[in-house]
Amino acid sequence: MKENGNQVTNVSAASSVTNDDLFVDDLPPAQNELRSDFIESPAAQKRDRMKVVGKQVAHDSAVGHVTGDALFVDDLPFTKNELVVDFIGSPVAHGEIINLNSEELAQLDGITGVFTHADIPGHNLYGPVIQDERFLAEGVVEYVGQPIAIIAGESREAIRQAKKKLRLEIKELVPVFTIEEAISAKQFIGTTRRFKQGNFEKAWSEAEHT
Amino acid sequence: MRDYLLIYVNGRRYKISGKRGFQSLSDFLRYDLGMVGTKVVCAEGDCGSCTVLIGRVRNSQLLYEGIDSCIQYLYQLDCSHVITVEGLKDEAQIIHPVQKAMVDAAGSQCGYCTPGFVMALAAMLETGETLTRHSVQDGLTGNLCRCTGYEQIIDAGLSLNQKVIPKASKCYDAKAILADFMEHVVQPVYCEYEKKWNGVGQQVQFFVPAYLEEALEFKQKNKHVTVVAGGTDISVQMNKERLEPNCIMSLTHLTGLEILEIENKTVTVGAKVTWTELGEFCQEHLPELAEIISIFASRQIKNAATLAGNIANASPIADSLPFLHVIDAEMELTASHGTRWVNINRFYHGYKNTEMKPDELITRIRWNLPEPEAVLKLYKVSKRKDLDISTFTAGILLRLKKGKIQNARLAFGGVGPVVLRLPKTEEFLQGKPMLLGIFHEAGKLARDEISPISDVRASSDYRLQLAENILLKFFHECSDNQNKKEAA
Repeated sequence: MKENGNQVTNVSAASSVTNDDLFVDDLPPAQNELRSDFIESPAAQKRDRMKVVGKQVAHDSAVGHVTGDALFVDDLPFTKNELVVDFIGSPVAHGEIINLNSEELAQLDGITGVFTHADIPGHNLYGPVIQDERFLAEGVVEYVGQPIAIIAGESREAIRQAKKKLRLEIKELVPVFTIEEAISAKQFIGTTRRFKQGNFEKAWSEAEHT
Repeated sequence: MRDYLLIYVNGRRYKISGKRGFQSLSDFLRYDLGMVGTKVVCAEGDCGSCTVLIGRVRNSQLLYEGIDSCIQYLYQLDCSHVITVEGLKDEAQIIHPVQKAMVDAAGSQCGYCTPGFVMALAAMLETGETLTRHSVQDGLTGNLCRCTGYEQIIDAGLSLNQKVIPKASKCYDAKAILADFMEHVVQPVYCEYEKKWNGVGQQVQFFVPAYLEEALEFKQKNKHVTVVAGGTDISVQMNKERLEPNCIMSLTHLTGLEILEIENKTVTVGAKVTWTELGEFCQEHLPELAEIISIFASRQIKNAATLAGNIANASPIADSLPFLHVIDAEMELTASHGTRWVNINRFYHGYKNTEMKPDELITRIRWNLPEPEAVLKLYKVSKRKDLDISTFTAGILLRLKKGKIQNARLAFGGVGPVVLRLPKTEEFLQGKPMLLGIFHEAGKLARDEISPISDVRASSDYRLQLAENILLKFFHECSDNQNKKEAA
């Protein structure tokens, strides 16, 4: 553990390893891999590390925060020709999309475009590790608010007005709210994955608590 | 008649006319003035990120209080001086002691809620209250932080020495601003514009009368007008796109509706009296109601919202209603042709359907204080203790004589389309002794007099159980008090 703790993993070395069961910490050290460490004397090391202990150090953005001077994305000035973008979300927890008047909406004053999954040139999937979530719903919706289309316009007001003209036909399906319902409907998230190391069967059969 | 609103922001004078007057203060600050220090998160007056100080004319002076700028629309703010987080720095651009306290106490992390907390702390300095842990916590109930944690922020508040720190409002020439306002408050304001979209035009208008007669006349001519005092519910509906009024009247300048007095045990509350004012008043005269007021909304809300608004909004879970029902409060409904008093127990005909005629305004509310031998208890059941929409509310008022119930009044909220009085249970209790078994039985009867629905806040069963149990709670609280009295 101690050895691993100071180890800086060489990422390019990791890419050549294809064993799916390994975590970053389990990767073997690469050849000539650098190890991060302090180079001062132990006394200097201790002094440097301790100089902030017990002291309140102001957050480096604190003055910006308390004065309101710190700019967040929403605070940036509008650029010329900037469009406002919003989602059209599902009104139901589970349903089949029959029709959306996207072409009609796109013709309205101040509306620049309405886009569904069919307008996405590449794939429609995203996700932090496994890309299995649809960016825009295709055929069915599975939760309230699930984005079905993107609407872009010249102002918030234009989008607000256009949304009133929205005609979204959805055939409601039975929603799945509990684990029991999910099991009986055989609706599971992703495929089952197992992580095993060493002689799993032996350890499992001998384990006191399983 | 003026065709513009007069608003000062950080000492600068703005005349706002036409379409611009129809936006929230936070939008005006952020988009028209580019003062983006004021943040908007919830846009419904819950999180307090948009808190600013607002100085309004009260008794010929400028009174500065913290409010949520996201749910205050400009037509409510004619003749107000707004101080934002940008306005706290002094001329030499040195940050205000409140800001420094937040830096020193590590009161910010992501920083998005921070300007709101800074302004809420600055608002506490304006009132000059003693800053204790309890008062600082209370002053910050209207501000949510999801990452720093409240301890550091409370520390920042406790580190402030109000004797030394200048009030933010003192940095501005209040005298000159007030003089300007006094000249303008006597003028009514009317603004309109044509909202045009996709070939369809619509006239949108607001009116800020200077006198009650003008208000009544306008209401008679425009029966669909949306009347706004504090606007803490209507503005939320507008922000959430559930309401789009095209004719608005703001009561801002109707000083005659600011009356708050007690005479011969009769309390009279003007339609413009805010919850903050009523709360302070009740500390002395009606502690039971003061307790409900202390938990039902944040300071920012209470500085704007009114008792009359709570009544007119006609929600079956409005927190003031059980009290008003058991105390037999009356509302003065005024139209240009006359005035009538209506008992609140005859005011609600159905869900959001009231006795008020389209040309009438609620101008005053009055009630008699409970007699000294009466027992009044008010209850609010909600998922959180503070600042939550009630699941169930109750008011119980008993008159006792020699251990027997002479008269009982019960009003429950959240158990039907309107707040309900429980006549059968009241009748049952009359003449009965104060015994646990009696209240058990009364609880069973109460269940049969209500018709609660199941919704996001609670199931019907849960509300039925609450209605039964609240009578037992009442009994036990009364016996507790009795025991304490006897012990003393």
